[in-house]
Amino acid sequence: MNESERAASNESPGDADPDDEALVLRAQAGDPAAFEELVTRHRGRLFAMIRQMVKNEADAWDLSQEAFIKAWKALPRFEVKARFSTWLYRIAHNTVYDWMRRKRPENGAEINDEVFGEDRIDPSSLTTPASDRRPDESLEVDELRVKIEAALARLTPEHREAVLLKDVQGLAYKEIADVMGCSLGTVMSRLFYARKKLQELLKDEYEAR
Amino acid sequence: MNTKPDDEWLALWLEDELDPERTAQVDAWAASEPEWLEHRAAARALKPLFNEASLAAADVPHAEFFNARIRREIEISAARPTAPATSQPARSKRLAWLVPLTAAAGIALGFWAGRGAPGGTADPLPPPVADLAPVLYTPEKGVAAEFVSSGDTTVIVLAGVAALPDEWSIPETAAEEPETRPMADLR
Repeated sequence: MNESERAASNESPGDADPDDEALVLRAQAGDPAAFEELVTRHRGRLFAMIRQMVKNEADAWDLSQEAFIKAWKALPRFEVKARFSTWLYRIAHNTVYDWMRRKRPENGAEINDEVFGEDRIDPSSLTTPASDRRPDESLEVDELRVKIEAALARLTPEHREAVLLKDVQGLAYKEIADVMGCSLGTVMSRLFYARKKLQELLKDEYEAR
Repeated sequence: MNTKPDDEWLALWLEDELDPERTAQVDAWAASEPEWLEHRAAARALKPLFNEASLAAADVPHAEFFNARIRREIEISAARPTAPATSQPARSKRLAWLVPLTAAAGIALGFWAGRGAPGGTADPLPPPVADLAPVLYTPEKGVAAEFVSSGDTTVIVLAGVAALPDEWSIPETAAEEPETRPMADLR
Protein backbone atom coordinates (compact mmCIF):
# COMPACT_ATOMS: atom_id res chain seq x y z
CA MET A 1 0.00 0.00 0.00
CA ASN A 2 1.50 3.32 -1.01
CA GLU A 3 1.28 6.56 0.95
CA SER A 4 -1.76 7.83 -0.98
CA GLU A 5 -3.73 4.61 -0.58
CA ARG A 6 -2.78 4.57 3.05
CA ALA A 7 -4.17 8.10 3.36
CA ALA A 8 -7.32 7.20 1.47
CA SER A 9 -8.00 4.30 3.78
CA ASN A 10 -7.59 6.55 6.77
CA GLU A 11 -10.57 8.86 7.16
CA SER A 12 -8.71 11.30 9.31
CA PRO A 13 -5.39 11.41 11.06
CA GLY A 14 -7.46 12.44 14.04
CA ASP A 15 -8.62 8.82 14.26
CA ALA A 16 -5.30 7.56 15.44
CA ASP A 17 -4.57 4.00 14.61
CA PRO A 18 -4.70 2.18 17.93
CA ASP A 19 -1.60 0.29 16.83
CA ASP A 20 0.30 3.59 16.91
CA GLU A 21 0.13 3.48 20.67
CA ALA A 22 1.59 -0.02 20.83
CA LEU A 23 4.33 0.94 18.41
CA VAL A 24 5.14 4.07 20.39
CA LEU A 25 5.43 2.05 23.59
CA ARG A 26 7.76 -0.43 21.90
CA ALA A 27 9.82 2.39 20.39
CA GLN A 28 10.04 4.09 23.77
CA ALA A 29 11.40 0.84 25.15
CA GLY A 30 14.20 1.15 22.58
CA ASP A 31 12.86 -0.92 19.69
CA PRO A 32 14.05 0.81 16.47
CA ALA A 33 11.94 -1.52 14.30
CA ALA A 34 8.77 -0.22 15.96
CA PHE A 35 9.87 3.33 15.30
CA GLU A 36 10.60 2.49 11.68
CA GLU A 37 7.05 1.19 11.34
CA LEU A 38 5.82 4.53 12.68
CA VAL A 39 8.01 6.30 10.13
CA THR A 40 6.57 4.20 7.33
CA ARG A 41 3.03 4.91 8.51
CA HIS A 42 3.37 8.65 8.85
CA ARG A 43 6.02 9.63 6.33
CA GLY A 44 3.55 10.20 3.46
CA ARG A 45 1.40 12.67 5.36
CA LEU A 46 4.30 14.41 7.01
CA PHE A 47 6.22 14.72 3.76
CA ALA A 48 3.15 16.07 1.92
CA MET A 49 2.55 18.60 4.68
CA ILE A 50 6.16 19.81 4.76
CA ARG A 51 6.37 19.89 0.99
CA GLN A 52 3.32 22.15 0.88
CA MET A 53 5.01 24.38 3.42
CA VAL A 54 8.43 24.72 1.82
CA LYS A 55 7.48 24.16 -1.83
CA ASN A 56 10.57 22.18 -2.57
CA GLU A 57 10.75 18.44 -2.77
CA ALA A 58 14.39 17.98 -1.83
CA ASP A 59 14.12 20.28 1.18
CA ALA A 60 10.88 18.59 2.22
CA TRP A 61 12.61 15.21 2.05
CA ASP A 62 15.44 16.40 4.28
CA LEU A 63 13.14 18.21 6.70
CA SER A 64 10.85 15.20 7.02
CA GLN A 65 13.86 13.12 7.95
CA GLU A 66 15.00 15.72 10.44
CA ALA A 67 11.54 15.74 12.02
CA PHE A 68 11.52 11.95 12.41
CA ILE A 69 15.01 11.92 13.90
CA LYS A 70 14.01 14.64 16.37
CA ALA A 71 10.92 12.61 17.19
CA TRP A 72 13.06 9.57 17.97
CA LYS A 73 15.29 11.60 20.25
CA ALA A 74 12.32 13.20 22.02
CA LEU A 75 10.33 9.97 22.21
CA PRO A 76 11.14 9.27 25.88
CA ARG A 77 9.37 12.53 26.76
CA PHE A 78 6.28 11.78 24.66
CA GLU A 79 3.16 10.97 26.65
CA VAL A 80 1.30 8.15 24.99
CA LYS A 81 -2.09 9.60 25.94
CA ALA A 82 -1.48 12.27 23.29
CA ARG A 83 -1.87 11.48 19.62
CA PHE A 84 1.43 10.55 17.99
CA SER A 85 0.56 12.19 14.66
CA THR A 86 -0.30 15.52 16.30
CA TRP A 87 2.95 15.43 18.24
CA LEU A 88 4.79 14.66 15.02
CA TYR A 89 3.17 17.64 13.28
CA ARG A 90 4.30 19.82 16.17
CA ILE A 91 7.88 18.66 15.69
CA ALA A 92 7.58 19.19 11.94
CA HIS A 93 6.21 22.69 12.56
CA ASN A 94 9.26 23.59 14.68
CA THR A 95 11.63 21.96 12.21
CA VAL A 96 10.19 23.89 9.27
CA TYR A 97 10.14 27.21 11.11
CA ASP A 98 13.73 26.74 12.31
CA TRP A 99 14.69 26.03 8.73
CA MET A 100 12.82 29.12 7.52
CA ARG A 101 14.66 31.24 10.04
CA ARG A 102 17.97 29.86 8.81
CA LYS A 103 16.96 30.67 5.24
CA ARG A 104 15.92 34.20 6.18
CA PRO A 105 18.22 36.81 4.65
CA GLU A 106 20.54 38.58 7.04
CA ASN A 107 18.96 41.96 6.34
CA GLY A 108 16.15 40.98 8.66
CA ALA A 109 13.34 40.49 6.16
CA GLU A 110 10.53 38.45 7.65
CA ILE A 111 10.37 35.61 5.17
CA ASN A 112 12.41 34.76 2.15
CA ASP A 113 9.80 34.83 -0.59
CA GLU A 114 12.00 32.74 -2.81
CA VAL A 115 11.37 29.84 -0.52
CA PHE A 116 7.62 30.11 -0.92
CA GLY A 117 7.32 31.40 -4.47
CA GLU A 118 4.64 29.70 -6.49
CA ASP A 119 7.03 29.40 -9.42
CA ARG A 120 8.87 26.77 -7.39
CA ILE A 121 5.99 24.35 -7.60
CA ASP A 122 6.91 21.53 -9.89
CA PRO A 123 3.77 20.20 -11.60
CA SER A 124 5.62 17.09 -12.68
CA SER A 125 6.72 16.41 -9.16
CA LEU A 126 7.48 12.83 -8.30
CA THR A 127 5.45 13.22 -5.16
CA THR A 128 2.07 13.65 -6.74
CA PRO A 129 0.05 10.83 -5.25
CA ALA A 130 -0.34 7.74 -7.35
CA SER A 131 -3.85 6.52 -7.91
CA ASP A 132 -5.96 4.08 -9.88
CA ARG A 133 -7.95 6.80 -11.59
CA ARG A 134 -8.52 6.85 -15.33
CA PRO A 135 -5.91 8.94 -17.15
CA ASP A 136 -8.38 11.76 -17.93
CA GLU A 137 -9.60 11.86 -14.32
CA SER A 138 -6.05 11.75 -13.10
CA LEU A 139 -5.13 14.66 -15.34
CA GLU A 140 -8.03 16.73 -13.99
CA VAL A 141 -7.02 16.00 -10.42
CA ASP A 142 -3.41 16.85 -11.20
CA GLU A 143 -4.48 20.16 -12.72
CA LEU A 144 -6.63 20.95 -9.71
CA ARG A 145 -3.80 20.04 -7.36
CA VAL A 146 -1.40 22.35 -9.16
CA LYS A 147 -3.93 25.20 -8.97
CA ILE A 148 -4.53 24.62 -5.27
CA GLU A 149 -0.80 24.41 -4.58
CA ALA A 150 -0.26 27.66 -6.48
CA ALA A 151 -3.02 29.31 -4.45
CA LEU A 152 -1.63 27.96 -1.18
CA ALA A 153 1.78 29.33 -2.11
CA ARG A 154 0.31 32.82 -2.10
CA LEU A 155 -0.72 32.61 1.54
CA THR A 156 1.51 33.52 4.45
CA PRO A 157 3.20 30.51 6.05
CA GLU A 158 0.92 30.69 9.12
CA HIS A 159 -2.26 30.88 7.04
CA ARG A 160 -1.08 28.12 4.75
CA GLU A 161 -0.20 25.85 7.65
CA ALA A 162 -3.59 26.40 9.31
CA VAL A 163 -5.42 25.44 6.12
CA LEU A 164 -3.20 22.43 5.50
CA LEU A 165 -3.66 21.13 9.02
CA LYS A 166 -7.44 21.64 8.96
CA ASP A 167 -8.61 21.10 5.41
CA VAL A 168 -5.96 18.71 4.18
CA GLN A 169 -4.81 16.78 7.24
CA GLY A 170 -8.13 17.01 9.07
CA LEU A 171 -6.86 17.98 12.51
CA ALA A 172 -9.24 19.37 15.12
CA TYR A 173 -8.94 23.05 16.06
CA LYS A 174 -7.47 22.20 19.43
CA GLU A 175 -4.84 20.01 17.79
CA ILE A 176 -3.97 22.78 15.33
CA ALA A 177 -3.61 25.20 18.24
CA ASP A 178 -1.23 22.73 19.92
CA VAL A 179 0.80 22.21 16.75
CA MET A 180 1.08 25.91 15.95
CA GLY A 181 1.49 27.01 19.55
CA CYS A 182 -1.39 29.50 19.50
CA SER A 183 -4.93 29.93 20.81
CA LEU A 184 -8.12 28.51 19.35
CA GLY A 185 -9.18 32.03 18.41
CA THR A 186 -5.95 32.57 16.49
CA VAL A 187 -6.50 29.33 14.59
CA MET A 188 -10.00 30.48 13.64
CA SER A 189 -8.72 33.86 12.58
CA ARG A 190 -5.93 32.36 10.45
CA LEU A 191 -8.35 29.94 8.83
CA PHE A 192 -10.81 32.74 8.15
CA TYR A 193 -8.31 34.89 6.27
CA ALA A 194 -6.68 31.93 4.55
CA ARG A 195 -9.99 30.55 3.28
CA LYS A 196 -11.18 33.97 2.21
CA LYS A 197 -8.05 34.44 0.14
CA LEU A 198 -8.27 30.92 -1.28
CA GLN A 199 -11.89 31.52 -2.23
CA GLU A 200 -10.81 34.48 -4.33
CA LEU A 201 -7.92 32.59 -5.88
CA LEU A 202 -9.88 29.42 -6.61
CA LYS A 203 -13.22 31.01 -7.44
CA ASP A 204 -13.31 29.60 -10.96
CA GLU A 205 -12.63 26.12 -9.67
CA TYR A 206 -15.37 25.76 -7.11
CA GLU A 207 -17.92 27.65 -9.16
CA ALA A 208 -17.36 25.24 -12.02
CA ARG A 209 -18.24 22.28 -9.81
CA MET B 1 -28.66 33.05 21.58
CA ASN B 2 -27.71 36.71 22.00
CA THR B 3 -24.15 36.40 23.26
CA LYS B 4 -21.24 35.19 21.19
CA PRO B 5 -20.68 31.43 21.62
CA ASP B 6 -17.35 30.30 22.98
CA ASP B 7 -14.52 29.47 20.58
CA GLU B 8 -14.98 25.71 20.84
CA TRP B 9 -18.63 25.89 19.79
CA LEU B 10 -17.82 28.34 17.02
CA ALA B 11 -15.01 26.16 15.69
CA LEU B 12 -17.29 23.13 15.49
CA TRP B 13 -20.11 25.20 14.00
CA LEU B 14 -17.80 26.54 11.28
CA GLU B 15 -16.92 22.99 10.24
CA ASP B 16 -20.52 21.68 10.51
CA GLU B 17 -19.42 19.42 13.32
CA LEU B 18 -21.66 20.82 16.07
CA ASP B 19 -24.71 18.84 17.21
CA PRO B 20 -28.09 20.01 15.80
CA GLU B 21 -29.35 21.59 19.02
CA ARG B 22 -26.27 23.74 19.51
CA THR B 23 -26.09 24.43 15.77
CA ALA B 24 -29.53 26.00 16.00
CA GLN B 25 -28.39 28.21 18.88
CA VAL B 26 -25.27 29.37 17.04
CA ASP B 27 -27.28 29.86 13.85
CA ALA B 28 -29.55 32.22 15.76
CA TRP B 29 -26.56 34.23 16.92
CA ALA B 30 -24.84 34.16 13.52
CA ALA B 31 -27.92 35.46 11.70
CA SER B 32 -26.74 38.98 12.53
CA GLU B 33 -23.04 38.17 12.02
CA PRO B 34 -22.38 38.20 8.26
CA GLU B 35 -18.65 37.74 8.73
CA TRP B 36 -19.11 34.43 10.51
CA LEU B 37 -21.60 33.24 7.91
CA GLU B 38 -19.07 34.14 5.26
CA HIS B 39 -16.42 32.19 7.15
CA ARG B 40 -18.59 29.07 7.22
CA ALA B 41 -19.47 29.46 3.54
CA ALA B 42 -15.77 29.61 2.66
CA ALA B 43 -15.09 26.44 4.64
CA ARG B 44 -17.96 24.63 2.91
CA ALA B 45 -16.85 25.78 -0.54
CA LEU B 46 -13.21 24.78 -0.21
CA LYS B 47 -13.50 21.41 1.48
CA PRO B 48 -14.71 19.48 -1.60
CA LEU B 49 -11.87 20.97 -3.65
CA PHE B 50 -9.25 19.87 -1.17
CA ASN B 51 -10.79 16.40 -0.94
CA GLU B 52 -10.80 16.04 -4.69
CA ALA B 53 -7.17 17.11 -5.04
CA SER B 54 -5.93 14.39 -2.65
CA LEU B 55 -3.29 16.55 -1.02
CA ALA B 56 -3.17 14.72 2.30
CA ALA B 57 -0.33 12.35 1.52
CA ALA B 58 2.34 11.91 -1.08
CA ASP B 59 4.59 9.05 -2.02
CA VAL B 60 7.96 9.81 -0.51
CA PRO B 61 10.65 9.55 -3.19
CA HIS B 62 13.13 6.74 -2.52
CA ALA B 63 11.10 5.63 0.47
CA GLU B 64 13.42 2.76 1.44
CA PHE B 65 16.43 5.07 1.35
CA PHE B 66 14.43 7.58 3.41
CA ASN B 67 13.88 4.97 6.13
CA ALA B 68 17.46 3.69 5.89
CA ARG B 69 18.92 7.13 6.59
CA ILE B 70 16.71 7.58 9.63
CA ARG B 71 17.68 4.11 10.83
CA ARG B 72 21.34 4.98 10.43
CA GLU B 73 20.97 8.26 12.35
CA ILE B 74 19.29 6.35 15.16
CA GLU B 75 22.11 3.80 15.21
CA ILE B 76 24.72 6.55 15.30
CA SER B 77 22.95 8.40 18.11
CA ALA B 78 22.59 5.14 20.06
CA ALA B 79 26.33 4.48 19.71
CA ARG B 80 27.28 7.91 21.08
CA PRO B 81 28.03 8.07 24.80
CA THR B 82 25.37 9.93 26.72
CA ALA B 83 26.28 13.24 28.30
CA PRO B 84 26.80 13.16 32.05
CA ALA B 85 24.04 14.59 34.17
CA THR B 86 24.71 18.18 35.17
CA SER B 87 22.82 18.12 38.42
CA GLN B 88 22.08 15.41 40.90
CA PRO B 89 18.61 14.92 42.27
CA ALA B 90 18.19 15.54 45.99
CA ARG B 91 17.66 11.85 46.68
CA SER B 92 21.07 11.03 45.19
CA LYS B 93 22.69 13.58 47.47
CA ARG B 94 21.12 12.01 50.53
CA LEU B 95 22.56 8.64 49.54
CA ALA B 96 25.96 10.02 48.55
CA TRP B 97 27.67 8.32 51.49
CA LEU B 98 26.81 4.97 49.91
CA VAL B 99 28.92 5.67 46.82
CA PRO B 100 32.39 4.85 48.26
CA LEU B 101 31.02 1.72 49.92
CA THR B 102 29.39 0.57 46.69
CA ALA B 103 32.59 1.28 44.74
CA ALA B 104 34.67 -0.73 47.20
CA ALA B 105 32.20 -3.61 47.04
CA GLY B 106 32.29 -3.47 43.25
CA ILE B 107 36.09 -3.63 43.18
CA ALA B 108 36.10 -6.58 45.58
CA LEU B 109 33.48 -8.39 43.50
CA GLY B 110 35.41 -7.72 40.31
CA PHE B 111 38.62 -9.02 41.88
CA TRP B 112 36.84 -12.15 43.10
CA ALA B 113 35.23 -12.74 39.69
CA GLY B 114 38.54 -12.11 37.93
CA ARG B 115 40.25 -14.83 39.87
CA GLY B 116 37.40 -17.18 39.03
CA ALA B 117 34.45 -17.97 41.21
CA PRO B 118 34.86 -21.27 43.06
CA GLY B 119 33.07 -24.14 41.37
CA GLY B 120 32.31 -22.27 38.18
CA THR B 121 34.06 -21.39 34.97
CA ALA B 122 32.78 -18.14 33.63
CA ASP B 123 32.80 -17.80 29.86
CA PRO B 124 34.94 -14.91 28.84
CA LEU B 125 32.95 -12.06 27.36
CA PRO B 126 33.52 -11.41 23.68
CA PRO B 127 35.70 -8.40 23.03
CA PRO B 128 33.72 -5.25 22.36
CA VAL B 129 33.23 -4.59 18.69
CA ALA B 130 33.53 -0.98 17.69
CA ASP B 131 30.81 0.35 15.45
CA LEU B 132 33.15 1.51 12.74
CA ALA B 133 31.86 3.55 9.88
CA PRO B 134 33.82 3.01 6.69
CA VAL B 135 36.36 5.66 5.76
CA LEU B 136 35.45 7.27 2.46
CA TYR B 137 37.99 9.04 0.30
CA THR B 138 36.41 11.60 -1.99
CA PRO B 139 37.75 12.43 -5.44
CA GLU B 140 38.24 16.11 -4.81
CA LYS B 141 38.22 18.71 -2.08
CA GLY B 142 34.84 20.01 -0.97
CA VAL B 143 32.99 16.81 -1.80
CA ALA B 144 31.04 15.35 1.09
CA ALA B 145 30.64 11.58 1.12
CA GLU B 146 27.97 9.71 3.00
CA PHE B 147 27.70 5.97 3.41
CA VAL B 148 24.32 4.34 3.93
CA SER B 149 23.79 0.64 4.27
CA SER B 150 20.34 -0.93 4.31
CA GLY B 151 20.00 -4.70 4.23
CA ASP B 152 21.93 -5.89 1.23
CA THR B 153 21.99 -2.45 -0.39
CA THR B 154 24.84 -0.02 0.03
CA VAL B 155 24.64 3.57 -1.18
CA ILE B 156 27.43 6.11 -1.23
CA VAL B 157 26.25 9.68 -1.71
CA LEU B 158 28.79 12.18 -3.03
CA ALA B 159 27.52 15.72 -2.51
CA GLY B 160 29.37 18.48 -4.31
CA VAL B 161 30.68 16.62 -7.36
CA ALA B 162 30.52 18.81 -10.45
CA ALA B 163 27.93 17.74 -13.03
CA LEU B 164 29.21 15.88 -16.08
CA PRO B 165 29.30 18.15 -19.13
CA ASP B 166 26.76 17.31 -21.82
CA GLU B 167 29.43 16.79 -24.47
CA TRP B 168 31.21 14.18 -22.37
CA SER B 169 30.94 10.67 -23.74
CA ILE B 170 32.26 7.35 -22.59
CA PRO B 171 35.57 6.61 -24.34
CA GLU B 172 35.28 3.68 -26.68
CA THR B 173 37.79 1.55 -24.88
CA ALA B 174 35.66 -1.55 -25.24
CA ALA B 175 34.97 -1.09 -28.93
CA GLU B 176 37.15 -3.95 -30.04
CA GLU B 177 35.64 -7.35 -29.77
CA PRO B 178 37.53 -9.51 -27.36
CA GLU B 179 39.24 -12.40 -28.95
CA THR B 180 37.04 -15.41 -28.49
CA ARG B 181 38.21 -18.81 -29.42
CA PRO B 182 36.64 -22.16 -28.71
CA MET B 183 38.09 -23.97 -25.77
CA ALA B 184 39.46 -26.61 -28.07
CA ASP B 185 41.86 -24.09 -29.66
CA LEU B 186 43.48 -23.42 -26.35
CA ARG B 187 44.74 -26.90 -25.97
